[in-house]
Amino acid sequence: MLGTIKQLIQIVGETNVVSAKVDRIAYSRDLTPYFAVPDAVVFPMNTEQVVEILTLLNEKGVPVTPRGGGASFQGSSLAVKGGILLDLSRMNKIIEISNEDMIAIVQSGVRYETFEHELEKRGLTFPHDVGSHDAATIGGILASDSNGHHAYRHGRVGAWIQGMEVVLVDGTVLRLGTRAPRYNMGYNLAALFAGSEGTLGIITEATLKLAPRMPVEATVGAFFKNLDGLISASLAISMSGIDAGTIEATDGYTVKTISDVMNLGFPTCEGNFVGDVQGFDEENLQRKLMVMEKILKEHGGENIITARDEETTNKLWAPRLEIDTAIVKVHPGYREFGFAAADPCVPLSKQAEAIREIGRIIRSHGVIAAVFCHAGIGIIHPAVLIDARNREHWVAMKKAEQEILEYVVSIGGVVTAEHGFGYVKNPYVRMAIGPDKLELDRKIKKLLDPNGILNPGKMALDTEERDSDVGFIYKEYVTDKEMTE
Amino acid sequence: MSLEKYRHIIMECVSCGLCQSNCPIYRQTNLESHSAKGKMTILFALLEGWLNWDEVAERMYECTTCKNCQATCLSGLDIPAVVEAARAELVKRGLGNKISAQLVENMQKTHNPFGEDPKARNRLKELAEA
Ligand SMILES: Cc1cc2nc3c(=O)[nH]c(=O)nc-3n(C[C@H](O)[C@H](O)[C@H](O)COP(=O)(O)OP(=O)(O)OC[C@H]3O[C@@H](n4cnc5c(N)ncnc54)[C@H](O)[C@@H]3O)c2cc1C
Ligand code: SF4
Ligand code: SF4
Repeated sequence: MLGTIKQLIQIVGETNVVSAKVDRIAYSRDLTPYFAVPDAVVFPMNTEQVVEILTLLNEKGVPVTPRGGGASFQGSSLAVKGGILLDLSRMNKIIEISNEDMIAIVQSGVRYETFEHELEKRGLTFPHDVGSHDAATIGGILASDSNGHHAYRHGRVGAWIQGMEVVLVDGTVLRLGTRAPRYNMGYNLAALFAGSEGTLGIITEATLKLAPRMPVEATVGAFFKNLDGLISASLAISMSGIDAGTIEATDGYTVKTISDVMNLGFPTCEGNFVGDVQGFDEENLQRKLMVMEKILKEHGGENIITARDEETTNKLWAPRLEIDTAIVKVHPGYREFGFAAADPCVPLSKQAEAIREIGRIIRSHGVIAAVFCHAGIGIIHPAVLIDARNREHWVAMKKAEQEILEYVVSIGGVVTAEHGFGYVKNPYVRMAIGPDKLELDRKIKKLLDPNGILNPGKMALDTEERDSDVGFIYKEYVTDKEMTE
Repeated sequence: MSLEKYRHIIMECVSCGLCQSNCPIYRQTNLESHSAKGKMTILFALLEGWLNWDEVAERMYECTTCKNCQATCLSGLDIPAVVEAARAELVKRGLGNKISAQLVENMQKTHNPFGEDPKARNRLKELAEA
């Protein structure tokens, strides 16, 4: 490895190669229970350097794990097989923002919020506001085909890629798309690289479609005694055509915990609704708000609050965003972990049932559940909150994970719809996509990365196991192998 | 070991990275060991015995204790308190901040933190008065 590191220094310079143990260890953790230390961290500054790095490492068969901000939930950007962590965060230039073409061209290490602030100045937006804010890079967002808080209105990020520059392991630089809004020329490879989690190539640059920033907006909150009412209100809002920005549901346990800890005075409920709506002028917004509030009331929504200022907006979003802070206060030592059942998706008509059932499954194992739902698009985020020093809680988390995923599939849902497979879902990939698709995915991987150097150990492309090649941050952690013994 | 008292904060860090966004040090370097996330990971490794105190010293002093990370922290953690506890332990172990030590020495010897000849200041005073 020492010789390889010397060659990497020749490519990117001494300050862009990190090999001190203390600095490498800083890259060893994400939201999962795992601990994986890379042999070196390398920061390329431009596409040419990425070409040289990949060519070198491909020849030597050294694993390369691409990383943007490292905010992945699923172990996706952990170097589980060691080797080189290719950190793209210093390739962070916004190359161009064009109001005329409604596009931006950016290097992949540009941070989401930093980018959004620049767009705001020009009345534009890239409306894929992931909850990881400025921790997330554009490269990480594209490679995960992420789903921002406004995905209800704007869809997945993949459809917003107008062009992409991707470096393949053999050093080929692919240029997909242009500044022209559409292309339909053979296989849609940009769609293949979006969501490929760094297993097929390195995204170095992207040409992104932009949207106009709506000048006025409001957030609406409501509390429901019954989750069925909340979900039917969400469907009615979708059917009304008012084009809301986002529609979110949070379960009653979470609402109560947040309300108690933050002293918010929220009423007891089975679920709370928070949505936002944008308008091109005040009159347009007011009409939409009227429709939304009426629907919420008709379906049993109580204590309806409409927020136009930051303080009330934050209060309404608190149940959705503050659970981690609150739980530490109520149950010191408890925390959330990235686990395999963090982001399933169910048919819209099954959302109320699924929020309830998923919460029930988790609690039945004696640990704490907070359940959220992107109610307009069927994605459910269960958070399992455990005392990580308690072995029984790890067993509970693993049992709950399996039961949730089996349940979701049984009602016509899918295993993952937001974060992707990463490392933590390796054992569930076959169940999720079936043997034929898995076989085809592996053929595509082999074609583009014959030596298997790119982000090895992920998406079940080379192993269907987890826990076998990494360390754990808690000695009480119970491995998959121990679960079966 | 006093840092042990802060183990619960180190372990409550979920490694989400939200603290990267406004850390004045991390924003300059994009080096994870400069962010609160990285610092908590390093201290975790230290408590586990995977790193030594002398290996972590420099990174612990590279923090302004501005609390920006606490303001964006997903779990509201008081990171600067942990960093300061680590520094206290470093000093006890004879691994005090070399730069601070130099500043103190300069003050004692030259009556200014820069280690410059105090006569230079007198000359400036004379020039200003002239
Ligand atoms: C608090 C929090 C909230 C979150 N909220 C959301 C949310 O609302 N919606 C959502 O979808 N996700 C969310 N996530 C998950 C995650 O933040 C996003 O998926 C985000 O896109 C990751 O960006 P990143 O730059 O940190 O990627 P990383 O974690 O660095 O990487 C993610 C994946 O992309 C690959 N990759 C990174 N850069 C490149 C590149 N240039 N070329 C090729 N491959 C690359 C990595 O190998 C890895 O597989 C959240 C995470 C956290 C911690
Ligand atoms: S307190 Fe230290 S780690 Fe936190 S933001 Fe300030 S400089 Fe960064
Ligand atoms: S924001 Fe808080 S919990 Fe998240 S990584 Fe930083 S210190 Fe840890």
